[in-house]
Amino acid sequence: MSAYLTSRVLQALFVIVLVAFASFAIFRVLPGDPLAALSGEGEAISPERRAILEEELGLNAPLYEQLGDWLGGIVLRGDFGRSVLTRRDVGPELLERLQNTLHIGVATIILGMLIGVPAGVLSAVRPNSLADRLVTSFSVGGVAIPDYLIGLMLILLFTVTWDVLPAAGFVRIWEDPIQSLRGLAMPVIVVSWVLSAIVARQTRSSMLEVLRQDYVRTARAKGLREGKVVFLHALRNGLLPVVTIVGLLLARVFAGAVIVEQIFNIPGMGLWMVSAALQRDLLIVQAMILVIATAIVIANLLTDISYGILDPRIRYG
Amino acid sequence: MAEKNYWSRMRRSRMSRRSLLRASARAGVGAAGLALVGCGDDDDDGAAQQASSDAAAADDDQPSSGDSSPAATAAADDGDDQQQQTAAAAPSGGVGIANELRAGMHLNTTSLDPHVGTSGTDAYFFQLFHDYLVMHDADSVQQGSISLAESWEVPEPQGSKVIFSLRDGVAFHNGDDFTSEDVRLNLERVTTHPSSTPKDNFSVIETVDTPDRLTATYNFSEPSAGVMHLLGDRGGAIVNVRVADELGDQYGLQPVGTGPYSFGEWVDQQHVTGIRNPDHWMNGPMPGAATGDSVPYFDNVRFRIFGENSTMVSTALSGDLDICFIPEAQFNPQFEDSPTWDIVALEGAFISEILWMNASKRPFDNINVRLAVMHAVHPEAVNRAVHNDLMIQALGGQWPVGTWVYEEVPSNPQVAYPDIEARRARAREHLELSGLTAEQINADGGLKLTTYVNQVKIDACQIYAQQIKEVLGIDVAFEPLELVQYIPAMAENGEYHFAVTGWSRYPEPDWIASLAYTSTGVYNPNGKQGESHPIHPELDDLIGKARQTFDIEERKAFYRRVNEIIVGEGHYYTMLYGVNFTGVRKAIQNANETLFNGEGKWQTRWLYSDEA
Repeated sequence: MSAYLTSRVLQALFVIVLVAFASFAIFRVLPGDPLAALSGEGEAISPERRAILEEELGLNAPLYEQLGDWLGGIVLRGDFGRSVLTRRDVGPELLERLQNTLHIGVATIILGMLIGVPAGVLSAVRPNSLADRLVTSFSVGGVAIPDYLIGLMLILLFTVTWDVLPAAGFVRIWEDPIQSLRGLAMPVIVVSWVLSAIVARQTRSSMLEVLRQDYVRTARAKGLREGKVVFLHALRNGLLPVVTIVGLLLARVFAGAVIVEQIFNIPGMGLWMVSAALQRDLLIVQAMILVIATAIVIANLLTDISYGILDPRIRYG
Repeated sequence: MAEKNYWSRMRRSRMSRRSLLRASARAGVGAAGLALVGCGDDDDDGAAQQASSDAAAADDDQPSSGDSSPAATAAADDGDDQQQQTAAAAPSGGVGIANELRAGMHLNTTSLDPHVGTSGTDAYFFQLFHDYLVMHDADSVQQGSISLAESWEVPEPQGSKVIFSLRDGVAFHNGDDFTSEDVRLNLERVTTHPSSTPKDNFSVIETVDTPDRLTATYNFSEPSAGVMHLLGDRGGAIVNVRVADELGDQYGLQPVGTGPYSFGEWVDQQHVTGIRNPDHWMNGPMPGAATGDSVPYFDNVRFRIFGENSTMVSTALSGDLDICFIPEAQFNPQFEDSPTWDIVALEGAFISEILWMNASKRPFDNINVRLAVMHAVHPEAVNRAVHNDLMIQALGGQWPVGTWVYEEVPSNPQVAYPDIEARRARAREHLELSGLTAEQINADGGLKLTTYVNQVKIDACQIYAQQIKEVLGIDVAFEPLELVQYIPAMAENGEYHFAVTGWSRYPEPDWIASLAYTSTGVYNPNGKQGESHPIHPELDDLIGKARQTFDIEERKAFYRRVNEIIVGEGHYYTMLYGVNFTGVRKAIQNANETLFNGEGKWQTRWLYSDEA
């Protein structure tokens, strides 16, 4: 077990280091001038000012030196650098925005599971029924309809037509729970629809497999009620593959955040990432890629480990 | 057996599998809760709540100069700590605070430091906290009554100096008095700060004399009439330089000026808030108000920043905003149809649509090819198709309608040939006069057009390319670029024949003339940055003379000739002027009369509400 853990942790560290290098390299390879964003729309930057800014931001140093300074700052001092554009420290801002994105992330994963698992079970125990078709339509819709469109339609209904929910106005849950829930309702619905669709499809497929197993047939033969057979015996094993997609869901949450934060004006990582990438605010983009990749790598690592604990058939080492 | 071994191990560890699963489920729920709650920083929240309660508590009886204001606190504390505190300030809904002006903006500000910001949007924000040495009214006329300089004098010989008589009794938000020394320090900062945006505009001022605390004299190394107009822009905004020096580049996150509001907080991409400055020098009866309302009227101001335009408009129409910038014409009907909103508009005050042509790149080195293209495009059709007919025809040059220098330019194709068929015929004549045929140009690769990534501009470019193809038969390859690629491609490397670009309104013509038309201007369309590429032998001289002439009619005459060259020879062709549309809730008063300043940007200090 310990050998397996060590190996997985080392693998994870390797991936994170690789991502750090890639995130540093990618915007230096892509065309585009990080200082051009400082000149404003349709304007250029003077050579004198360019030289001053390059010196100030360390952009005139050799690439290996820039990389060393950046990684050294993070590892040794927890310093992610400073935004080229706003001059804010990236680290504290990142922490703030991570909290905001996690508001949506935690809520959507919980809601996605609460909707997706029962829907998948229902669909599996009544294959080809009306319920199955409804769940399938719901799942396909969740995956097929773009987040952007769903978001705008919700705003049209709940803000413009009925005026019951704010289109924008994010508040943290511990500051004002009611206002926070009102602000989170629409973004969470948008992202959790997709997540619940993924979970429902996975649960359905897994449950269909499990329900055909001998031990389920034995349980039925013993005269157990169908509910007990499904929820007590089949679901526990049927959910094991669902656990494996939690890491993927986290990635989906970060991807979904890019759209919903833009639409609902939530000051999270997605909104920040888009504007920083477009303006080549390099240190922000690098920090975001690193943090998101690290979160996903850790989530997948934990998933792998937990899967072994939950499923007695899995052996390590 | 594996199964037996597994359960044996579990028994040895005295933990059942079921217990483990239950414990895991509880831990999962707990971790989710901790993830939400544990990420919170009590200190930061406290700061935010303090800022919020300060804002709510601000009233007429509260002294502005005390240490209690967030801005004053900001000035006193360590820069890094304050930066973190500002960044950490918790966002809130921004709705429901009594007597708060709630505004919606579609773009973030790059800095609240007027001297170092880089976006045209910055002025909407920093005007809350800063006053100008010389301010313009909506007609671009400098007015002492609304400026920190009550009056000024330009002694003979004109151009050697300007003497300012400063307003007495003005104080910064931290309590420091505003004096002539602040004028000197501000000028020094504008001309020497490494990140100063308007540095070049003020380099002609050699020294500032301060014979007494309310008199400041600019001494010019050479005459520069434009400086007076430029004082109504970011370079003339007065900051507390002592505080700015202490805070360094963090000043832009916590400004201290003399403006109608002291700084509250700036949550990036969310909002900027201000708290009424009860001791502001303008404090007195509100113009147009029946009651004794004071200036500024609102206890708080909250400028919310939206990443998505439709969200901003929905928020406005649901009643959560009082004024709302309308960034796209498609939203106008929604405000027009609303019973609770009006639209206030200022022509020529928003970004124009301009062809920027590179005369150093074949075949655009041939004047007749450029003129052929200028006459082939049909901006009126693009206005209808792309801009909902809400831009206006540009009949002058790059100085738009509403600025003092605006005049129709006879060589502008829309003036010379109002009839589109006649204009197109002229386009074909120019191509013939060039000695080149469409086939020859196409065989040489055709023309390359670009713009920066902006859907409206992209749509417009596609239509312009099609119009050129239809009228002249010339292939136009269109490639939109990200802003960060577009600027080097056009301004530095000359990779494209032409671009569709835009300028904001600016009260001083020398700004555009120096940057775009002089031989070394950074937006000179003909060449690489830092190199000298005269567009026309007369231009440098004309622009220099216009800059040194204080008589407004004489200046106009110089700029008239500049326009004749620029438009007549096809270097820049301004096709459409923008209109600044702002949605204003009907309850908000004075917007028609006072909302826009000389730059066509908001000035919110005279707004008030007639709601109880």
